[in-house]
Amino acid sequence: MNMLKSRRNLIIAILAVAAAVLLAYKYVPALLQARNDAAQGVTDTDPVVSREVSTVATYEAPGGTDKVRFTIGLDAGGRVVSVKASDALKGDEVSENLATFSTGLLVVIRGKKLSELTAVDRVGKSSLTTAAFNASILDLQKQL
Amino acid sequence: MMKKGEGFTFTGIGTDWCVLTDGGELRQDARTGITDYIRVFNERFSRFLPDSEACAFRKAEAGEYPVSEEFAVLLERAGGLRRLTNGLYDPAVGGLLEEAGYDAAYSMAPRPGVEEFRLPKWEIRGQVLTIDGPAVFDLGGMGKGYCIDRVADILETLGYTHYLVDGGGDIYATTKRGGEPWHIALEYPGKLDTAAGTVELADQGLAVSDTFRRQWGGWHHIVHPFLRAPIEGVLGVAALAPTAWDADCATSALFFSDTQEYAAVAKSLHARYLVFRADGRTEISTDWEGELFV
Repeated sequence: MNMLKSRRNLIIAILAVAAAVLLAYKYVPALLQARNDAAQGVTDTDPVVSREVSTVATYEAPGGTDKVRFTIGLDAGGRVVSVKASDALKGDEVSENLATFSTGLLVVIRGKKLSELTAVDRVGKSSLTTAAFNASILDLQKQL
Repeated sequence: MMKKGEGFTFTGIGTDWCVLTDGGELRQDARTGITDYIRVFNERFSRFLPDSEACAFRKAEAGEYPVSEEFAVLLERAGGLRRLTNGLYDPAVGGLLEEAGYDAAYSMAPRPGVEEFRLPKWEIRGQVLTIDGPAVFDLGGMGKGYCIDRVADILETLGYTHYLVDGGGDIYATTKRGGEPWHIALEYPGKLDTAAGTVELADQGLAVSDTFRRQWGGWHHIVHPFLRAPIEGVLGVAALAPTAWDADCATSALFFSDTQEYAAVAKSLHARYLVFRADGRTEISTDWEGELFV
């Protein structure tokens, strides 16, 4: 059992390195941009991980096919500062089947002031509430 | 620079609309056709109007009832989303929203009965609706997405080929005259002055939904039908899809999906997505196209 566990851990470690290389390759432009930003004096309030990306890797384990989600933390300069592997995809049969499509990425979006954007035709957003809704909320607030 | 004051603007189904045409003003017949359609749609399907079809079963007994062809189409699609989300997306939460205070009178205070709310069971087969008791349907965003596509149909029928339809922040757009896309900023959920990114929209629909704009007394409008409470963990969702209806269906479904299911749910609706989580991170489909301000 221990042998199987250590073999699994070895596979996960190898996959983690492979995933880090893959993601680093995929995000080279973004990383370079982040480095440029850092060079231009952009400061980050989080001293360690400023954003994360993640991917799901499939591998052949002793007990059959398994999946691991890797989440890679990047600092403000785009350097990889953490790699986390989790078995989060394990679950019921439906989730497991659906997970075969799951390759989403996880990032921290800081955003930019709308007023700084140029040549924007429209803004995609959640619907404004109706005047009646807003009036009711204001009325309720006055009663507090 | 934002083009303010351009296009045909009006209010309908409780939100602000804007239709932009590239290559000339929108003619009066198009304006009338669009506003007439939106007005009638609202009269037929708004749960805030007592005579609408969405409210027609408010006091109904269990049984089978005929419904209009368009309501059947909407309920059929809603039924598909219900299956996709294991029952968590359900337009029959209209009754729960009313119990929570989001009702026609905008009372905005939960009623004593909210804790006992029981989600009605319903099925649609053709144009026959089967219910097990009183039901109020809230079509919400998916109804609006459907409406946006019908406005696009009206424009196409009248010969417009380069246009954008903005229904309260959800959008369908063709290309501009020269074939170039429309440049759309995406509002970050809950941050009215902040863009999460931009997308280039061309023959596509975009839907954006968040939990901030309809908040009252600890509630918001996206509610868990079985926990009888607003959902937590997701601040907002944006989706790109071939139509506005697909995009709106995707945002509705993704709100109720587990993280591991996002890609499969989106794939089934031909959509790409951003899911803004409450922990400050955003789940992004790998095929998302657009700039994100990370």
